[in-house]
Amino acid sequence: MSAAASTTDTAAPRPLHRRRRIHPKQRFGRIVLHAIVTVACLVWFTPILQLLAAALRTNPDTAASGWWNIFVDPLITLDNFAAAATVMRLGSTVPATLAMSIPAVILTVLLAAYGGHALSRWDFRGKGIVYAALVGLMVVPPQVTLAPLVQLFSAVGLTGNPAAVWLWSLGFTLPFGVFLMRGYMASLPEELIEAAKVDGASELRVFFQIILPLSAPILASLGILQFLWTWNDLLTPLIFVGPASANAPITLQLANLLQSQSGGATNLLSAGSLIAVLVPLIVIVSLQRYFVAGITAGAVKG
Amino acid sequence: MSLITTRRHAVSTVVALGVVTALGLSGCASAGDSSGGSTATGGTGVVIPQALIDAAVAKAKEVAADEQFGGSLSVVGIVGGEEGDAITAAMAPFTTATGTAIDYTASQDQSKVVQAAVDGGNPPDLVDGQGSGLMQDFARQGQLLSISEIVGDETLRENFNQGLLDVASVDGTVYGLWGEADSFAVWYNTATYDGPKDASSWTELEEWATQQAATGVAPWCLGLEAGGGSGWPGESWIQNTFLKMWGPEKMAAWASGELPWTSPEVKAAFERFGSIATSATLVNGGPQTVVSTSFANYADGMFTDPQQCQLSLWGNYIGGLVTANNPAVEIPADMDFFPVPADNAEGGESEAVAGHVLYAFKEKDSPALRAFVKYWASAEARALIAASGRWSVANNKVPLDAYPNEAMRASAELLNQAKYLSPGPSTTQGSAVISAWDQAIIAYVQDPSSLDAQLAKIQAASGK
Amino acid sequence: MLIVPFLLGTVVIPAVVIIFTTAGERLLVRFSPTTQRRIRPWFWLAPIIIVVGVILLYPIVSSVMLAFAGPDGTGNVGFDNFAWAFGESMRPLLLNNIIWLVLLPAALVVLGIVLAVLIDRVRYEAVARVILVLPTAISFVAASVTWRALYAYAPEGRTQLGLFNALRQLVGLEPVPWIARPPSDAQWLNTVALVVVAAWAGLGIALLVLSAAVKAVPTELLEAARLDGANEFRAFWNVTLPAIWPSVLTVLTTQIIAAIKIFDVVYVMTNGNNGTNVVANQMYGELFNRPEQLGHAAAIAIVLLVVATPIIWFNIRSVRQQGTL
Repeated sequence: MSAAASTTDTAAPRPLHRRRRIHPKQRFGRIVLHAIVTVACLVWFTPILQLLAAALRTNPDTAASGWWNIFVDPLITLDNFAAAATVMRLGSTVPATLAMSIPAVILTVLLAAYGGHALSRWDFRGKGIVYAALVGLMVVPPQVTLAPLVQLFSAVGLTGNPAAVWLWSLGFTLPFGVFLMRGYMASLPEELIEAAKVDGASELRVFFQIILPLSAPILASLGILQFLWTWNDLLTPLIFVGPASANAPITLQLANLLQSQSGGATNLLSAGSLIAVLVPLIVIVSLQRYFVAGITAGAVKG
Repeated sequence: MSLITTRRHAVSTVVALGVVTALGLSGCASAGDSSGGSTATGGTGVVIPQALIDAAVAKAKEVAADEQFGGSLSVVGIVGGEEGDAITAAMAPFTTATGTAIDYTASQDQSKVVQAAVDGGNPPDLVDGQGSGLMQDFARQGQLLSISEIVGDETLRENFNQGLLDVASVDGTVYGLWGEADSFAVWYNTATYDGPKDASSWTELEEWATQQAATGVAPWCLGLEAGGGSGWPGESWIQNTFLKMWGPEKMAAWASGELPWTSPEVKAAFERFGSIATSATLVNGGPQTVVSTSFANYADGMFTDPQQCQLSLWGNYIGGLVTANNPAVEIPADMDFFPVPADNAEGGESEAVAGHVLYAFKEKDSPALRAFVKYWASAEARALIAASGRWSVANNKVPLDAYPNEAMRASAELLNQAKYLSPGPSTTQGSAVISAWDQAIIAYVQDPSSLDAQLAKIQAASGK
Repeated sequence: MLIVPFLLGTVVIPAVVIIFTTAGERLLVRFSPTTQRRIRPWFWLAPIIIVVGVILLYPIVSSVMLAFAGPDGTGNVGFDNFAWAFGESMRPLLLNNIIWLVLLPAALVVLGIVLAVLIDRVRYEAVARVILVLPTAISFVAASVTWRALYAYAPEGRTQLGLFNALRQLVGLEPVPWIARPPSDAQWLNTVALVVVAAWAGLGIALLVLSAAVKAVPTELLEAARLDGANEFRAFWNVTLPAIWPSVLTVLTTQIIAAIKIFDVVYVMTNGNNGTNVVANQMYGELFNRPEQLGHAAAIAIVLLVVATPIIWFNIRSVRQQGTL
């Protein structure tokens, strides 16, 4: 792989999309390609579509007929969204949840990149143990850590502080994050680093100016995942931030929609879930732009 | 308006206006807002009369001796959303009277949250708990304020049924204050039900059910599916059956853990429940449908066309569930109830009850906290809960006309008239037993031959 | 109230970490190359080791110590908790975990690779990725609501509210209780139905990781292979797959681990009813239900670790084989 890469130094800059002239023979292949992608997207979207339909329908309709009847016999209401938005108290839950998830994302991405770099670039005594510990720590279910940490956090005065949530979230995701980064960084061509080293760049410069930009897609992936996990976490904020409504996360209010004994939970909860997914959706869409091919012949030249 | 596609004319404009106002409000709403309002709306669109609110404010001033405490009290409840709003609305007059804000949060994982907060040395001021199981633990550890001392045993006895005080006590001292309560009964569709309404025994109802089954419409409605909480509607069915079979003393023994789950009495109650739930003809759709049908929808079978089933043994919240899906149904005109038939006089004089129990932590003792407990024990505060139309209230002194409708009045009367209110294990036991119980109910309905094994599993979960 | 912890996490701590490594590097260059090689990795790993040590290692060690203790975390019951963990009552749970272990990683690795490679070649790539990742963004409470509705069952002849049974009825088949088959039926299929939900919710993770890896495959290599006359499948097999292999191993490992400790989906869909219980769901109950069973929970945690040792070993070996760059 490395040999091949260095022989293509002179290749032309690649186009944005990997489209090539289509030979008649390949037309069939293109059709199959589009068919698979479209079908997968349709299947994956169906449960979401059902949420949307349930959110737009009335309780009696949901109880009486399948959600797809919204297309046949539409009676659409925005009542569920209105009621869900009121109950969820977005004005306080969104800032509170962001205060827990954004620090978690930034710290996780930064530290995981450090770890992935150290484990993929250098050989050192004790590396095996570090690696085994990372994988082993991923196996342990999160619930095990909660009780001892409640006592620790209260001893250092972190109880009730959103920092307790992002700190836990950081610690809990780091083994996965480092593992993920190491896997990705291990596949980066070593010529890039060697070339930079020859130029006399320091380890820090290599890391910040070569490794990090090349790792943009995986950094974005980890960032998205960590954001989704903290955004949707219910138990940890409850346990660590404790009973104070000022810091209640959005998931807590979402779960509240389900608790009502007086019915209508499905429709309200569907609407609430769609409201709650808006911010993660913005995050996914905006981090999408990092999903471009990072390595080109130009990059190898430095 | 163009967003609304109209099929039935009633919905469109009201909905559209509702959206605009609600979205506008939510934009600037903060967590504290809900406790500050002077008028509150119950979920069923009930507006609490100003007179009741004024009376509650006056009562709060009285118990606080007109003092302005300021500050705030934290309350961890179990119900959020509109139900949580109904509770905070009943707490709001205390804020008006004393300047002490009430910070109410709700979580279904209440026991975990409260336990973690206590372990972390940072308990909330108050817990509006699901039943009395966790309260008993904390009381035994000496962590709770004595309600007996704050409110006075005499006042407690006047206001509350002895059965409710018993489960909220440890060694004769009351530590928990019963609040929102649910009563249980057999509900039926008034237009179609032609069976006995004052059956002198369960057998009489059973005979009617057997004949009814032959007509092709199942006598009983039941659905146990509730995702992670599947099985819970069976709890109330089984403990009501138990109470009506064996009376309140045995119920208390079962609830406290003295009478084991493997005892013949408990087994008999399970079997009477099972004779219906595992029957192919006595219950709507048979056992496979019972475990697959959502608790939120199963009673709709009374009102489907053609009718699928006739009766439902359940809590008074069934009214809200049925009307949410069937807005045309009026209670009690279209759906009414009768008490669960008893096998003996003792069972006939007592009713099973479940509900919320409020308790306060000793560590957080303060004049404001004590005043709040007194306020919450008063009939004036409980009348606001009654007026929300969501629950019965456990306080005998609350006048029946505080309830917003006939159906709520009738189910409150059922509780008031009972000589002894008898909370079952669903109220008193810890989550390990409840969870094992729910799972056992599902497993039993799916495989009736496994009953003994299931009962042994619940007993093992109780750690006894 | 919110702003201080927010700034602490977004500005202060990241700055401290970067200053720490910068200062570390300044210091390191004064040493001999051999010493540098030996010490440098620990400088870079130090912040991680501190955080993970406090947040994971300390609580795990202190919890796992309870494996020999009684229900309330005190006393010594010898190996009783382990006897229970491997006993009669836990066996069906372990079998369910094996179903998860076989199906979930396989499904996600295959789907993840195929879709990551394919969406890379369509112009609506961004839209496709958002749709496929969206389920991962939905809370488990919502996933539970929507999937329980999709799997809904009503007896034959009644209105089917669930999509799958409505489709079956359309073609004249009997409705199926997808997640509530009774013990007399093939109950393991209930677990398979839950694996489907987990695969739906988890594809986003596999796809994001593999998509990133596909982006890192040098285009020139693919072009070269095509010039050599390789068809698209050959090019994928000989160029793309080897290049993304470390990331495939990452996904495989994380999904195997996810299957071992699968909890959320089971908890919200059935809570282990209908023969779907798994080890981690049991542990959750032992840990949080009252009266608690701390000894049992600790024993289960150790069982999970033991089950995972082959994966740990396999990962270390594959890293050794790759060598260090």
